[in-house]
Amino acid sequence: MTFNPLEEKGIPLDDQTRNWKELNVEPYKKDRVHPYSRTRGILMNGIEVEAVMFSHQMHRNTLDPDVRKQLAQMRRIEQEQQKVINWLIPGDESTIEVTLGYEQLAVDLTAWLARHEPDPYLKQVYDFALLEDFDHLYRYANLYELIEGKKADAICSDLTEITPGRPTIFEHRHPHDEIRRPMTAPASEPQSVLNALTIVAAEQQTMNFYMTIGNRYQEPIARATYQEIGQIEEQHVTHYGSILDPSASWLENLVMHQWHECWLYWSMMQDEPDPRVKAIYELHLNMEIEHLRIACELMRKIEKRDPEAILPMKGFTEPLKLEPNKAYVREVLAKQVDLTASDSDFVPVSTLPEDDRYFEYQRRVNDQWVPTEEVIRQNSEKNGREYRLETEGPHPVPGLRGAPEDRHGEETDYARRSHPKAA
Amino acid sequence: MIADRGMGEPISLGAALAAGKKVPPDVTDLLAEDHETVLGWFDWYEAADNRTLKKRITQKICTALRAHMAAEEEIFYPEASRTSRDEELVQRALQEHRAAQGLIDRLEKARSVDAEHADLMRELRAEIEAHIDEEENQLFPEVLQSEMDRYAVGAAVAARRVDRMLELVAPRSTKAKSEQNVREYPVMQISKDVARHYFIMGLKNAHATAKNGRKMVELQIDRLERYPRLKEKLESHLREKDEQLERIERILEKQGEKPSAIKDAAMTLMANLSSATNAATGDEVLKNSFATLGLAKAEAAAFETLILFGQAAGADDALQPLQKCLSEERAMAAFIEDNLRGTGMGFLQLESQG
Repeated sequence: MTFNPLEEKGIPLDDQTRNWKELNVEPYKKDRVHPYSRTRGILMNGIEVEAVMFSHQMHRNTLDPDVRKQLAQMRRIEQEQQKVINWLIPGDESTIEVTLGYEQLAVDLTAWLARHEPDPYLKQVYDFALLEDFDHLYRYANLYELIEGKKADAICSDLTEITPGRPTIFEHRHPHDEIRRPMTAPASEPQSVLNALTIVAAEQQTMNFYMTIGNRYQEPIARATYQEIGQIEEQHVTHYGSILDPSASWLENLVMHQWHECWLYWSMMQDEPDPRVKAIYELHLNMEIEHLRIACELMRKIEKRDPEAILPMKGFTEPLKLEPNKAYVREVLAKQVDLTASDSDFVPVSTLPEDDRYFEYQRRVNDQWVPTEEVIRQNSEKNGREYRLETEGPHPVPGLRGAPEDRHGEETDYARRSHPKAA
Repeated sequence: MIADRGMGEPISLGAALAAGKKVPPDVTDLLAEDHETVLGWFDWYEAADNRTLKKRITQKICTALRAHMAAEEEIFYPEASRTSRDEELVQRALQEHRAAQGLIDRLEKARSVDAEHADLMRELRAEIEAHIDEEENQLFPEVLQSEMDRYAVGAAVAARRVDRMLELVAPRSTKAKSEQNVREYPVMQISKDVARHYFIMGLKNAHATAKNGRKMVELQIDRLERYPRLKEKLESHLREKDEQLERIERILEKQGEKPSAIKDAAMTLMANLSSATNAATGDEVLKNSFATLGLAKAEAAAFETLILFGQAAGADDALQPLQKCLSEERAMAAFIEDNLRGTGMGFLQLESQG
């Protein structure tokens, strides 16, 4: 199966505008939607938000009035695409329910990308943050039970396990330790480029979402949990944003964005069970093919370069797939839960010296109380136990098992390092 | 080179960096980052379990090393030996490059990924590791102590490295025609002195043109009561013109030219263009628009050429201010073009009202 968007004919730009009736799509039914249908929508919303924001930034750095006009016209369409996709979410899905969708996406998207990342350094970049998003799902699932009295598997089904990852309390690192080494596009694997563009857009939208809706609850514990995890999203957008090629030109970036959108709509079409939503993805793909053609034309005209020479491959052969990754996540958990970051490298937390900036930063932010720990405590107190969904046996990390008797006195290196030194 | 191709925007990475559109790296950080990346790829090669992948990783390593070494040899080493004055260290680094290049040649020619291939890779890795060790522990500390402008050199190295990489990578996947496009950087023999001579001459002409242009804009403004949008734009352009004049004067001074030496000779081109402004007929607003558009385009062309000459003359700190002038003139021309319809229809409307 190969798909080359450069060989396809899209919908002329002037014909892409939709009316209000077409834009105001009927939302899905909350109790009937497939969890991965929900996450596909969340992903594509993030992709369109990135398309729009990127286009705005490029426009502000472009002097040519014609190019500005073309960007404006394409951007208006990207906005319509974003509206259609994001308006599939029904009004009766609560903010935490949408949030559970965001975090389920983060887990299964990142795991797929890690499994399909050819470059070992970049794979490590994905594995590292995977365990953190995995933990967020668990924290929000407990918040959901605490506040709305419902169980997260009503939203996520049993496709993704819900249990501690790298505990959020330990994820707060000094900003200097979030910078990774960038790719140089001409020397990168094509799949690496696609993967990076995908994760940056997805994490960025998660960041935007928590920035905006984190204050929509009255309960202090909910407001604080969104705040704390929201700051990790900032770390993740920095972490992933730093692997993108900083030497690429605006036009190169524009071509890459459009090309990448073609890959994703083509991917989403493959598995979408709802025919109505599938038709939307197909329609949007046909629009993106035209956007890609226009971007390529601009590059030829302005940079006098052949876009095909910079596109890393002729056609797409493998679609991105949202699917369960339970075994993979468990394997990464077992091996990497105790890693932290030091500059652009990943190292076991046990190897950091006592005066490392990591501990200093931890003391700063975790000083009084830590909402993501408190949410577990409160929910355990209310329901006599915390919420977990472990379908594949006990937690792979003994130190993170629920009941003290299952831990057999084990603890993680993180927990060990965080104890105050015995006098 | 500054490759401003028709829209006032720098095109190549080097041009974008020179014009301040990208933030340049400290050259030692950039090179150290490359070191870590390539060592990671050596690990990947060793861990890879199939030959196709090993071959691809080898290609990646060879390309990255070639681009990295080219940028070091052409830009970083000459600068390092000039500023740190440790010729011996630089010579040793160059020797190590030659040894590595020999191994890269052999690796790129190797037909199969076999035991010999693995040996060559091990040898290359050892060579690179020793080289990195020397660079990071001896040469870089000296560079950090020296007067080198590490950001200026970093910009040049980053640009050269990507250009070289594209030269190495793109031809394989490109048709002949576009290959020619990608390689639009012919090596030309240009004398710095000649470039400087014409750079200065061009600056003086640009100064005269700008002064004349300022006058022309000033003359128009008073008569534009009925065209408030245009008036407002021209007023802000008048301020831009003053800044342009100052910028040019500063560059000339930096080039050792006394301000008093700037003679603003009236130019033929200017005389022609501005004669239109003097004619006080009913349709003067239209004629003035045409003239201003022509002048803005002429000035943009002059600034574009000055940027080229400035770079050839090594006047790097002149490029950013000149790029600003260029952008302003482009924007001015674009404004008038965008408003020709409005101005024309407005004129007809006013005439119709009598």
